[in-house]
Amino acid sequence: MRVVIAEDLALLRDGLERLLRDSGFDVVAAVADGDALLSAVDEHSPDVAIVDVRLPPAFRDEGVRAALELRRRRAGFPVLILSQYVEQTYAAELLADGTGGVGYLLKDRVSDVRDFIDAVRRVAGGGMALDPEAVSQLVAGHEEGGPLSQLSTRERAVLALMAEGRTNHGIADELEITPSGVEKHVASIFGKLGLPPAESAHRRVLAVVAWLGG
Amino acid sequence: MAATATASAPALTSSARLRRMGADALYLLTGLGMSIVAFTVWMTGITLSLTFGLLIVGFPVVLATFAAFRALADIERRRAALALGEPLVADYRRPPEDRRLAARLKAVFHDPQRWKDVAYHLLFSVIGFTWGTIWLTLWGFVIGSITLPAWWWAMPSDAQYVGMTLETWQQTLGAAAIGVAVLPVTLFAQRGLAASQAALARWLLAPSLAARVERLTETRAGAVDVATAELQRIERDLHDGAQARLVALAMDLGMAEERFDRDPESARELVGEARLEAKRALAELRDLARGIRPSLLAERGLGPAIAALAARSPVPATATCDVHRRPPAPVETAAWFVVSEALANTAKHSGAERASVWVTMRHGDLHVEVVDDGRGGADPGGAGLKGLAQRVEALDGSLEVNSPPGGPTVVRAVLPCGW
Repeated sequence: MRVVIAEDLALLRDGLERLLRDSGFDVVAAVADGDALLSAVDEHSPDVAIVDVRLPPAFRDEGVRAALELRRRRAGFPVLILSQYVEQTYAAELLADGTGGVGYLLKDRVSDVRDFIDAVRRVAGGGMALDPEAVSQLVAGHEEGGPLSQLSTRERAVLALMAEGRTNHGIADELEITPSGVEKHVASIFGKLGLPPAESAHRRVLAVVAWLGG
Repeated sequence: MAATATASAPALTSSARLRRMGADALYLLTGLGMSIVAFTVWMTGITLSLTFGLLIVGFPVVLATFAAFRALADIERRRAALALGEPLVADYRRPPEDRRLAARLKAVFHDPQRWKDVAYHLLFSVIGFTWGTIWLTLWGFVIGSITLPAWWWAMPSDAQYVGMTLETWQQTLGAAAIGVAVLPVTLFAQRGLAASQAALARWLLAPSLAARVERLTETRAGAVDVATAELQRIERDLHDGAQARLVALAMDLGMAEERFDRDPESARELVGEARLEAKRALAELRDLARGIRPSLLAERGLGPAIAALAARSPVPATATCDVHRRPPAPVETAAWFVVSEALANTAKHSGAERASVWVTMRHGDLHVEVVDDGRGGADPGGAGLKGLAQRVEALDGSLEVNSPPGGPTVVRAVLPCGW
């Protein structure tokens, strides 16, 4: 799998590169700012880009903006954003086009190498990987009103795990229920949110988008 | 104000009263001299300014005139300490960052204190001279009368004393008695003359209450800017420093964990790297904490903290700290930053061979002075010095940077302690 990394701090850029190579990825470019990211993606057409939120020149949200630009140019291009802080606005912006292939993880997660590698693969495959921290912020922010208020507590827990990018199996293990129970909850969530029948990965994204937007 | 309290304090001890009399006398006497200087300066300055001021070549003349008035005003503020017990505070607008003549001229024109300087010296050249003359005449009469018995013999025979011709030596004793009688009046008048002259100085040379409030409002806003900038710096330092190192460390450990079974040797290497990363993260956190409030300053106070700064300075520096009571923490921190920044600038830009630091407490103000023998030309509008000025002004203090090309550079801060 071919990866492009955009991270301004050499220490972390090199570390990430080493870690990904170690796990069998092909790091085709490791760059330090948003413009370099855009041209590296044009040049190499990688399977996924891993991008730091803060990049030069202003060290604010240049990484998110570069990622949005990437996805504007290539619909659904898989991007995994890494950050030292979780900001749900960024996750919402990235997912807003409803095409998936979005990850948003705290940099700390990188140390759980296997989980991190899984997340990279999932995002590259058009799935999601929202940081549990981001998800718990979202849960905290959605107590009152909105379309999500119709969801039961259990359904919300299922939706939160979907946002983290878990499969039905993973969700079943986490909540200690049967996979068919999960499927029922998922179907009920889709129904309550009024999502059209479609391919399931896509609907999962839309459900999470509804949640982020709500 | 403290000065008024000194002037009207009911029970002065006799030595204090003597000192008071001496100070008043010196104030009026030096006032006589200064009024003549003032008269000369404004005659010359205003004549030249009006002659050349309309032409571009006149700009430097006008600027120089204002600078001369300011220099005189600074002397007057210090001189006022003779009558008021403490010098007056100056309150000028900060010089513009744009160093071009027109910009400087505009800034001077828009600073009300500059005009007050001019007004003061117009009035003072008359009042200082008149008051000084009255004072000289009074004392001349008193001393002349009292000592008359001693030199009466040298007077021409038809000389008169208060309209009388003194014919006998006994009569001169009467004159001496009149001199003694007039002495309290003279002393009383002297106090009045000194106090009124000082009141004029206070009125025109010290900032009014409204100006002080306005200035504090401005500096409060500046302080918020400083605090925000400081927070941003700390956040950046954390983000790019310790936090990044800890992430790298976690990554190393994560990879080591993965490799442990298949390649223990390279896993061991990674653990070693992680340990180094942890040490670096600790060092960065320590530096960051020191940048917020140096631990030595917090624990031991200004003297040892400044001595440590001087000892660390790449340019050999001596530090003299004469402060017996610890100033409030914000004042201490600001003083520390003044010294730290000034010494850092000395090392970076001045090419100086030595530097000296003085920290003293005078009239409830902490005075900080850093002097180097370098090439001068420091820019008070630069980020470092500007931040420093904002920091100091936020505490109602003042920062002055005097750094003519060729040096020496003097950075002087005055920080009120609120005692």
